[in-house]
Amino acid sequence: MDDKIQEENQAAPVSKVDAAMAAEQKLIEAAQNGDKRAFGQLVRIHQKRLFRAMYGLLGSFDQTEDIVQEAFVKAWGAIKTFRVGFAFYPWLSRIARNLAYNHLNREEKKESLEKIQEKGFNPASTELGPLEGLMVEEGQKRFYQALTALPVQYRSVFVLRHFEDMDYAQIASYLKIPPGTVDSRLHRARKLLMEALKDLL
Amino acid sequence: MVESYFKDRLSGYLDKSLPPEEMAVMDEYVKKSEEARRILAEFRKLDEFVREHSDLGGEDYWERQAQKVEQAIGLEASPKATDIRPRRSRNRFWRGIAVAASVGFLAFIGLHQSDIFDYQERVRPIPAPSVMDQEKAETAAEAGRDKAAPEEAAIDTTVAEKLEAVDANLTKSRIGIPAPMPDQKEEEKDLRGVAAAKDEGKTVDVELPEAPAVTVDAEKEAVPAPAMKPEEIEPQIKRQPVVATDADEMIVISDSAIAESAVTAELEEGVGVGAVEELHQEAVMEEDLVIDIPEHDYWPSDIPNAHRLLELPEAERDSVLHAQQEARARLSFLLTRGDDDGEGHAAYFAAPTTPQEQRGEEGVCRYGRRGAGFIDCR
Repeated sequence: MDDKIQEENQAAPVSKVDAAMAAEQKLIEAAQNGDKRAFGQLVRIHQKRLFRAMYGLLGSFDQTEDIVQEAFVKAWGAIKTFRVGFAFYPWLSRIARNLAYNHLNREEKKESLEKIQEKGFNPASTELGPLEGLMVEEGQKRFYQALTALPVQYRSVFVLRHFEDMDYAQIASYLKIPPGTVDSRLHRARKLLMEALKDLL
Repeated sequence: MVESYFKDRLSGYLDKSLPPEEMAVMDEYVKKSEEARRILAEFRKLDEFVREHSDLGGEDYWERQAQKVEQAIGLEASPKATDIRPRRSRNRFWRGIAVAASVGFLAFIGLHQSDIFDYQERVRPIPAPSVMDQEKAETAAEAGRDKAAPEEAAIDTTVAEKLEAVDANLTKSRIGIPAPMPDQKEEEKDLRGVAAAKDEGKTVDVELPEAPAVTVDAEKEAVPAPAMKPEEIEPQIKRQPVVATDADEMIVISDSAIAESAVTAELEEGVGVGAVEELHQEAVMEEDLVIDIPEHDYWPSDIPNAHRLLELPEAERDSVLHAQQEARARLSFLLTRGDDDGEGHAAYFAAPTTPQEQRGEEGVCRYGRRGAGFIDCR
């Protein structure tokens, strides 16, 4: 009996995920046939996660808002090229990340790590701007302050790992850095976040 | 130095992202080092904290953002008006339900009042015997006229007591004691009816007053709600400029100024799959190209690079390759700046198209202006 309950408990999330995936595939197919409302639903499903990841990369609310919107518009323009059967988010996220990195390159906002490190790590003095309006509790605010204050190199690795669920090899390939560097940057990002949030952990 | 090497790998160890041989070395190190164990415990706490505190709130904001995207892709704002209408009709629906429920409830009471009000409603209210009647009855009983009917003869004492109580009340009211409230009077009447019925040993149906008719102003309900203009509903939503894309294919354009001199090139199936790194490197070396390719279009999410394909088991690799060929993948990319004559070149590295092919194909293509595609590849 217990085994049966356990089996059911284990099966439940899987079937939920399957159902969500099936629903998403239907929305994608509808969007590929020109259904803008279906695409609107896809936007609603993924926008929060995408925003969070892009904010992590860019560290600016306004830029993130623009990039996320642009990414969705581009995704709509290219929706017919999406292969049904694959997860939508990685594809969408790839578009957004390309835009984000293009933006960083263009604006020359990729400061050298040394230069950023000179400035020091001051989460408490980091302004979140409108992002603060989306926080419902203190822990969120402190976390995003600390994340925003991280040097961009550390932040990128942390975001790709924690928000985009990429493994180390994928991060290394994406950022064109050796896997060992992913390790060490992630380690330092975690150490800095630990330091900033130690009273909450 | 050695300590730093191990510490830098603690994240990889925690995420189980190290190669097996390094994991084994780290296992040994963690067993020996108390500090390493402490750091790992802290990292676990941090990961948990991030999971719990990284989600963003503000549902209104997200809905507004989604609507902005919808407008940017050309979905008219009118749906806002239809968003409101269903709500109105929902209200109307629930109002109707409420009225129907009330009518039903009253009808139910009407039909089942005998059950609901028990014995009070099982008998027709019979005028209560007056004091005179009672006296007559008592006299008759005393005179022995009431011989048969043992039940009647044995008018039970409780009923008699009730009758006495009623009479006492009536007497009191006659001598100026405040009369009971109307409903109380009704109650008394019923009690008297009950008493009489009990006396007679019969059951009488009661006629209940009809349930008050509930009128629904159907005409009023049917009047359609005035259509709301989108700007009246949510004036703060403004139409966002649509960001132009240059082709149906997946291309990423940094901005429209760059797009003017952009060249879109396509590689047909069997030539250009993969190659992202090479193209990027070429772009960096030449410093005149920025190439952006949505890798995911051409590779399943778990195979980000061509070389990874070769690491797959043969059957899986064949299936991937087959899927790839079936999809007739076309590689599109944007070259942000071409040569002066409008032509440029780009290196490519095509993914292997058969499991036997180890490296795939490399070469350089010349490209023409937008839409011209590749002139030749070698």
